[in-house]
Amino acid sequence: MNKLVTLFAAACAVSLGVAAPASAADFPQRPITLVVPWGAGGGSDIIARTLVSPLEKELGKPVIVTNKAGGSGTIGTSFVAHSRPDGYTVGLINNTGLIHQIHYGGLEYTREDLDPLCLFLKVPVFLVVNSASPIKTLDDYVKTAKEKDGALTLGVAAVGGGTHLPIELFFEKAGIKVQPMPFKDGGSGVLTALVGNHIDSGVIHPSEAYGQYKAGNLRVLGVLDETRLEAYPEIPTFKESGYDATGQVWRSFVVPKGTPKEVKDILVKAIETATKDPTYLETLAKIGDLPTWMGPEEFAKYLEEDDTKLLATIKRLNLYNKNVQ
Amino acid sequence: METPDTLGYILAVFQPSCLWAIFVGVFGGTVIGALPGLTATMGVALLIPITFGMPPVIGLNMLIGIFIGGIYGGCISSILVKTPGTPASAATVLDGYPLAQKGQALKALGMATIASGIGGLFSCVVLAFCAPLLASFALKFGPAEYFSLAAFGLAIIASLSSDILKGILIGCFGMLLSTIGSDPIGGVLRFTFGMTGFADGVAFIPALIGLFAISEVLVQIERIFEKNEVTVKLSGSIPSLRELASCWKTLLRGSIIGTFVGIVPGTGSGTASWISYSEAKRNSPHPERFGTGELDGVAATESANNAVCGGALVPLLALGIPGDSVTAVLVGGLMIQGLAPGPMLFTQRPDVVIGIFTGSFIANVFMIIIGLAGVRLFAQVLRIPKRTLVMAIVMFCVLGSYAINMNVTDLYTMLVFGVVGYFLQKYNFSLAAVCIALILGPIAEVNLRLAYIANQGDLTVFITKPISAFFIVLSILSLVWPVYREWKTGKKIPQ
Repeated sequence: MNKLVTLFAAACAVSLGVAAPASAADFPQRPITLVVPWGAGGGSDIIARTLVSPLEKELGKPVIVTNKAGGSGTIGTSFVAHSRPDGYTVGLINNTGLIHQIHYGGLEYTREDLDPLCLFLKVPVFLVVNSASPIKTLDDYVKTAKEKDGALTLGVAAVGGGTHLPIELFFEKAGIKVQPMPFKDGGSGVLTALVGNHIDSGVIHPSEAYGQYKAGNLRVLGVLDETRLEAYPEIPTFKESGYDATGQVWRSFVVPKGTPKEVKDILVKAIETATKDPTYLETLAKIGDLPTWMGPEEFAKYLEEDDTKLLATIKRLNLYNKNVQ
Repeated sequence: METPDTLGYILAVFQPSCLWAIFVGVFGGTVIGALPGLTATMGVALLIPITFGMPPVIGLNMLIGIFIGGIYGGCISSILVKTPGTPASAATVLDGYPLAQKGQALKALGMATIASGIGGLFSCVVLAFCAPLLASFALKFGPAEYFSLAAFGLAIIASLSSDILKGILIGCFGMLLSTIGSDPIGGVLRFTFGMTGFADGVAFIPALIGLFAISEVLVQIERIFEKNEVTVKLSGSIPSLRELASCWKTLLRGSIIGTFVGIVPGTGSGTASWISYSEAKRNSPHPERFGTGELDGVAATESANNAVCGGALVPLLALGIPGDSVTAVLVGGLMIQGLAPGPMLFTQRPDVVIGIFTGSFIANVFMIIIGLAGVRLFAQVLRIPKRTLVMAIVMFCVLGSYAINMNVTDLYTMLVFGVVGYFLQKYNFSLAAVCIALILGPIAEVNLRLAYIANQGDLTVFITKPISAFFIVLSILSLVWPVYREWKTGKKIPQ
C-alpha cells in the first residue's frame, strides 16, 4: 500500500513537473526539437546536424533535428509558429520562409507568430556564365541582356527563391530584363545546364560553383555581397562594378511568439557559443558558407530592412500574393 | 592514368575497418530499403553527418553501401507484401508479388538479388573504366532532351496496358494528378484547394504506398471477410543457373538501360526500372505472361534499378554533377569531407575516386551475399497469418508515409490513393500507368515549358536536336507497336 502511495505521489510530481511552466532558471528540462523545414541532406540540414553536438554540450539536453520539408520551407516554419512557446521547439529558418514566402501569401503563419533569435549564417550568391561565353564582365552582361531584349536566359533554383530575388535587385539597378528558368534540382540543375551550355547564365552558391569554376568551365561575373569573399579574392562585388546590389541567402534561428525572454536568452547564448565550435566552423569552411552573428534586436531590425528592400522587387515581378487563391 | 599508386588505393579499401563500414552500410541500406517510406536517399542523408569524422574513403564507401543496399532492399517488400520499399522497386511488384503468391517467393527474391548484383557490377565496370568518357554525355541533356526522354517513358504506358484506351485514360488521370501543387515555372499554386500540404504536389512515395500496398490490403481484407483467404505455400528454391541463363538478355538489357538512365542527371532508378520492364516485355517471346509472375520481369526491373547506382556516380565523380536524387545528397557527403565535387576530383584525389570504384564493387558483392543468405529468412514473412500481416503492413505504411516529411497531408494522400488503387484494380486499370505518370509527368511538363522558353516558342527544337529526335522516334514507335502487334496477330494482347 505504502508503495502504491509513493508511486502515486511520484506520478503526481512528475505530471506537475511537466505541466508547470518551465521556469527560466532550469531551462532546458527535456530534449529540444530543432525543426529544419527542408529535406534531410540539404544545406540547412547539414548545418543543423553539425550544430547538434555543440548545442547539446551548451544546453545539457539532447537536441533532436526534425525535418519538416515541403512548400519551399513554409510547412516546417508554420509548424514552429504554431508550437508551444516554451523554448523546446526551435526553427532553423532561412530568409525565404521569413520574407519571400510571407509576401507570396497563402500561408498559415505570419512573421508576427515568430520571435527572431539570431542570424548566424550567410550563403553568398554568384552570377555565373559558361567560360566559353562572350560575356566577360557585368557590363558585358548588361549589354547582351539589352541586345537580346529579355531573351537572355538565367538559371535559378526557383522563381522568387533565395538566389533569384537578390539578382533581380541587380537587374533593376542595371535596367535590364532577363528570362528566369527555374531548375527543379536547384543549384546542381542550374550548374549542369550551364556547363552543358543549355542556358546563358545562372545564379548559384559558391559551394556549387567551386568544382567547375576551379576546372575553368565557369566564369563568375560577380558576387552579390558587400565585400569580396576571402576564398575568392579575384571575384569582384557588384558594388565595385557600379551596380549597388547586395543580397544573400541567410539562415537564422526563431522560436514561437511568446517564448519567455529568459528562455530565449539561454538559447541565444547557447547558439552563440555553439557557432564558435571549431568542428562546426571547419564544416562551414568546407561547404563555403560564411559565419556571421546578429543577436535578437539587431536581427529583428535587419529583418525589417531586408523585407522593405525585397518587397518592391516582389511586387515588380508580380509575385506579391501569388499564392492567394 | 595508370600509376603505381593505383594498386595501393585499391588495397586501402580492403582494410578491415573499410570493409566493415561497407558491410554495415549495405546491411543498413537493405533494411532501410525494405521498409516502405524509408528510401536510400533518406538513409544516405541521415548518415552524412556521422561520416564527418571518418577518413573520406571509409565514410563515402559506407554511404555508397547504403545507396546500393537501399535500392536493393526495396525489392524485398515489393515481392513479399506488394509494398514497394522504395520507388525504385515499384515495377518489381508487377511480377515479383504474383510469383510470391504462387509460392515462388524464394525464386523471385533470389532472382532479384542476383539481378541487382549483375546490374550493380555491370554499372561499376562502366564507372571504373569509362566514367570520364561517358560523363560528358550527361551534359548533352537540356530541357528538350529531358522532355523527349520523359515522353518516351510515358509512351511505355501503352505497351504496359492490356487495353490501350484504358491505359491512356488512366495515364492522363495520373498526369492530371501530377499538376497539383506549385507550378514548376512561376511557382503559383494549382489545385491545392488552400491546403498548404499540397504545395509540393501529391507526395509521390505516400501515393505509391497507397496505390500498391493499401489497395492490396483492402483486397486481402475483402478475401478475409469472404473467407477465401489464400495461404501462400513456400516452395521452390532460388533460381537455378539454367533459369538465370535464360534471362541473360533481359539482365544485360536492364543493366545497360539502368547505367544509361543513371548517367543522365535528374532521372533515377524509378524511371530506369519501368523502361527496362517495358523493354523486356516488348522483346519477350511471350509478353502475355508479364504481370502474372514472369521471372524475366523481376530480372528486368532489379538489374536496371541497381545499375543506376554505378551510372549515377559517373557524372558525380567525373563532373561533380549528381546523376540522381541519392547522388545529389552524396554531394553533401563529399563536401563535408572537404572534397569539392567537380572535374578536378580525378586528378586531385585519385585515392578517393579509386577507393569509391573499389568500394562500389565490394558493396555489390556484399549485397549479393547478404541477399542470398537472407532470402529464406525474408520469406518467413509469408508465414505470418494474413490477418496479422495486413495490420502490420498498414502500420508500416502509415509510419513510412509520415516519416518522409512528417506531414499529415501525406497520410491522407496515402489513404485516398489506397482507395483509388483498390477501385482501379477492380475495374482492371493499370496501377503502373498511374505510377509512371506521377514519376514522369512533372519532368515532362517542366522541361517542355523550359525548352519553350529557352527557344522563344520554337518547338522544332524537339526534332532538330539529335538526342531529342531519337527519343521522339522511340516514343512514337512504342505507341504504334502495340497497335501494330494487335493488327498483325488479329487479336488483343492479353495481359
